[in-house]
Amino acid sequence: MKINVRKNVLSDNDQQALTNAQRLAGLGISGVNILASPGAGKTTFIVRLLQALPGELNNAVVEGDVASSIDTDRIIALGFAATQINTGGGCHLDASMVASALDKLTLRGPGFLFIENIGNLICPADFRLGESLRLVVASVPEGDDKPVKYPAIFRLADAVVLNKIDLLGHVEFTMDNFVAGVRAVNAAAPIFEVSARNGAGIDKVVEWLREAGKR
Amino acid sequence: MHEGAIAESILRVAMEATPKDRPKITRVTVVAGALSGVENEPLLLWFGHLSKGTPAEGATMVITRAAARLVCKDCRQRRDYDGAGPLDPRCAVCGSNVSLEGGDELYVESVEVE
Repeated sequence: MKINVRKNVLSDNDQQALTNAQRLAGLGISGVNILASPGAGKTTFIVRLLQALPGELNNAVVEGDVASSIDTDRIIALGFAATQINTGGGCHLDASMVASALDKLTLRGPGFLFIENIGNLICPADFRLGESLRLVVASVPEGDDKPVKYPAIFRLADAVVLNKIDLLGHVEFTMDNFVAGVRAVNAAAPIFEVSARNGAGIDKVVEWLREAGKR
Repeated sequence: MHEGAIAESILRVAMEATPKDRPKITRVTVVAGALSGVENEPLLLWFGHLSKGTPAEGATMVITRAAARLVCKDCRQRRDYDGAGPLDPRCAVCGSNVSLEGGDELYVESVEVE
């Protein structure tokens, strides 16, 4: 006997993500899922955002890594709230991991909750976490072809951040190719050119976040 | 390599869909879009492994791939994109920018029971 099902495979995760989103929204917090490959500069970028956002906001960070609490320790040492998820080999965060992490933080709004996903441009694309915004961070030394090599994740981005622009001219990277690649897979996302190392362009991202966070 | 988590979810969805009096699953059909990020081989391996000792043990999993499409923003020319080949961001006919549509499906289409 054949039974028609037509049910999304990840519907349980989507449901938990919705619960997380409602919990955050109820507190006046915007969840921001930060997606990138390993070494794109996610943590340095998040630190820059935390430092550039107005002090009256209550921002916090959930750090996802296979192992170690290096990033969380760094953020806490700078005076910001953070908690660590270690997946022990898992290649992505899921909504139930984030729900447990939320329990460990003293959440207060208004503000942003930055969720640094596992460094991976493939698996995290499928798993919603309860974020209201998704930022995909690429970096100049990775090359200008990343959007067309990993279309699924760039397509999901609400904004694309190109980090390490201080390295333009030192490595092979053609801006037109990168922009055309992003536009092929994502018609609407703004593209921000930044250097998390020296702070260039961070103000534009902050401005966009504050607008987008209100929606 | 997140097919373990995907296979676990497929198994759960399939078992929830079976009638109580006919729990033994013989076939599960899954639709996976070209951009769903799921590979056939590891998904089949994980499903075989995780279904052991469940009513889906020994069931055949059929994975139907659904293509994404590259659509030209100007001349509207469409071509299928399989998620793995080169993705040319410019239209082969008129050279304008293309946009990528569809291909993100990931759902259990049907379950067959004894």
